Order: sequence, then C-alpha cells, then structure tokens
Amino acid sequence: MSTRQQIIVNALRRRYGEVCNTASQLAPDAFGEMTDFVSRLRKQLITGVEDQQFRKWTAPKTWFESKCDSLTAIRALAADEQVECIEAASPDEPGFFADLQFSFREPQRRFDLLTTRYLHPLNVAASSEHRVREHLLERLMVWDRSRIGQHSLHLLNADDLLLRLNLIAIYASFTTDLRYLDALNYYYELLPSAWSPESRHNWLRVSFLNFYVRALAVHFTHIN
Amino acid sequence: MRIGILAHSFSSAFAIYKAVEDTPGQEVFIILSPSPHRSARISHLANLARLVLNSLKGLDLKPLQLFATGRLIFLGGPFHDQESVDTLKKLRFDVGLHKAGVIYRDVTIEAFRLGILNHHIGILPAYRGRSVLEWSILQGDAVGITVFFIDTGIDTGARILLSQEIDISDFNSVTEAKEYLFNLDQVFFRKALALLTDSKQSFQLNDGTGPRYFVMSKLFQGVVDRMLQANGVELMAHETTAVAEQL
Repeated sequence: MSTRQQIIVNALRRRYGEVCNTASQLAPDAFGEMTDFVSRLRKQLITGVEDQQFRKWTAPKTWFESKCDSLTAIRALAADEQVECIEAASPDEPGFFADLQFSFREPQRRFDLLTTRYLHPLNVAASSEHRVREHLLERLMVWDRSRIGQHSLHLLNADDLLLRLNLIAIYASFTTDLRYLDALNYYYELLPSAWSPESRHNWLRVSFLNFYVRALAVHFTHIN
Repeated sequence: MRIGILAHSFSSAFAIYKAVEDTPGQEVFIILSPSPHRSARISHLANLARLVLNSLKGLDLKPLQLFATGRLIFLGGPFHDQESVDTLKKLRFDVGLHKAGVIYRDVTIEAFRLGILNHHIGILPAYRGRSVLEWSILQGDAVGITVFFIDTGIDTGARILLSQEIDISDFNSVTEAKEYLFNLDQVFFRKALALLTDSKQSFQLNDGTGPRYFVMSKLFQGVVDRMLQANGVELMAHETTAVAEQL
C-alpha cells in the first residue's frame, strides 16, 4: 500500500471509530415509536467497532422492483436486513428529474418525490440515476451547506435533508467517487452530534450514521 | 487592448493592476463593485481607505493617479445591474480579469469583447469547483493552474487559454500551497494577456466533462495535509495509480 493510501485508510478507520462512538451516545427513547429500531441500530453500530461485517449489497442492473415502501426499505437496509425485490425495467418517468429540480423550495414535495421513486433505495445506485445523484450531491454541498453554515439548521426540513443524506450515503458504498463519501464526512462534522430534530422521521438520522459507517468500511476495506 | 479588472476590493485588484499595467499596448482599468456583504456606501469608503493606504504604504502615487485619471471605476451595484452593464459597455473593454467573489451573468460577460478571464487553481476540465487543489492531491493527480474564459457555469467556460502544472512539493500545508497558487494570479494573468495579443493563439477545449468538486471535509483536509507532509506532492503526482482506481 502506498503512503497516500495508508494515510487515507488510517483517517477512514479513525472516523469509523468516531461514528460508532457517536452512535453509542444516542438515546433511543427520544425516537418515539422507533425506539426499538434505533436501539437495534445503536447496538449494531457499537458492536461494529470490532466487527466490520455487513451484508453485501448489489446495485440493480436496471431497476429493483419491491413491494416495500421507501422508508420501510431504508430501515431494513440500515438494520442489515434483506429487502425482497426483483429486477425490472427502469421506470418510465421522464419528468422526474425536472420535478425534482422544480421542488427546489418545496422540501415536502421533494421528500415525496424521492420516496415514491426509490421504493427500493438501492435503485439510487442504478446507472440511470447519475443526474439525480449529482443533483442531490450538489444541493447538499452548496445550498443546504450554506444555509446550515448561516446557523439556520432549524429552518431546513429535517426529514428532507436526512432522506437525501441517506440516499447519498447508500450510493457512497457503491462508488469509488470520493466526493460522495466526503459529503458524508462533511455532514457528520457539520451536524451537531446531539442533533435530534423534532421531525416525523427523525430516525433517518440514525440510519444515516449506519449507512455512513458502512460506506467508510467499504472504502477502507477496498483500499486495503 | 482595454482591460478591466473586476473586483470588490481595491487592494486585490491593484496587485493585478501592478502586474499587467506595463504590458505594451494595453490600457488597464479597475472596476469595483460593492461587496455582496456590505452596502455600496460602506464598500466604497473601505476601498477609498485602501487606496490611500496603498499609496502611503509604498509611497506610490499610482493608486491616486488611477482615481484621478478615471481608470478606477466604482459601480453602484452588482456587476449584472443594468446601470453597471451600461457603464461596462461604454468603456468598450476587450477583456476582463476576474478577481471578484461572484458568478457572472451573461449580460456582464457579454460586455467584454473577448470575455472575462479566470485564474483557476486546478487543471481543467478534470477539476471544476471548490477545493480543487485539495482534491487533486487527495487523488494523486497533478496540481496546477488554468486560465480560461468563464461562462455562467461553474468552471465550464469552453475556452482554455493557458494550463500549467505547478510543483508545490516545498509546501507542508494546504493553506500555504493554496496561498501560493492564488498569488500566482498576477503572473498568470500577465502570461494570458501576452498570449491573447498573439494573433495565432488557439484555445484548448474545456469540454465540461470533469465532475464538480465541493468544499472538502475536515477529515480529508487533514489527510491532504498529511500527504503533503509525508511525501511531497510531486512524488505522489507521479504515481501512476490513483486512489480511486484502487478502490
């Protein structure tokens, strides 16, 4: 391994430990009816320090069709469970990308658009989704980052922000493009560690940490 | 050739001015637009203060001469304001030199016969956007500078005038290396203007295929600093296998 690779691996391993440690400080009771789910994920993250084993994900060749709804599937993937699905043709929705762009100032609409399209969240890694991924990454790293930097995290729709972070975190496990992993690094540093938004799907914060840990492990394992 | 240096701050524009003013056949102006973070009045007062300080500091009359000869122009609003655009058009500039923290609109760019040049501290088209020095080092690629005519996108202007790799192996931190590269704008704008006067000058194509990079996390910034300290960028840049390919 070159010096450069060694430096990267060391940093990713160190961050892996930090994220697991952050997870150990989560209070599952703060997540209402998702207390059990958060407890399970928390336990998984804490034990993850010693054991970096995850169920292997496969990106869809075209598209995964699933009977799950998007949020249930995200919870299943975060808990390292399988989401039943079959390969299918890509959905014929040429207007989706335009709708996503037009939902610029409508976070709830964007949330609905994304959860409707990604019934199976691994579809975000499909080759057809390149433009969408770039768009989501750009929104996170330019617009949202700037808003949060101006101390207006509370003005953002937490569910919308966290859903997009989850999708980017899922994709980060599939790609060698370090920009996606670094968006997770950035948001991990940016969001207050004790941040617990009073939003309907605040558990997405915990699934985000879980996907982030997975992405870190995938990268440093592959570099090794 | 009539050149307009576009800036918010007199000091930063004046450094460029000093580097290019004596190029034969060129007439150089400084165009100041109010900082987006300040009112026009405060911005202009701050710039007048900088002008006086620059004169006193170097016992240099040039800043005052610029003002007196009408080659220092204060715009009342942003570069894209109709009034600002009208002013720029009246001045019949051939080329603009970008030293302001804004993305220009078409109306502003079109007010310059050839366009507006940007000094970008990355090699295009591979490295567009923010923190490109850091990203180049992280991925084991060459570090360098590109001077190109901007458009309204993020480092997507198609005409590259000048692109050159730069050795930064003497630097131990990104902050130092970045400052060095930014300060080379005086040298590179001068080189670019010399190239523009050559009638046979052709452009390299920026095809916009490179990904857009974003601000880097503290984690990766630390990695890049350690890389600089450990090996020296020159050695790393010559390794044939980029990290991404190893993944």
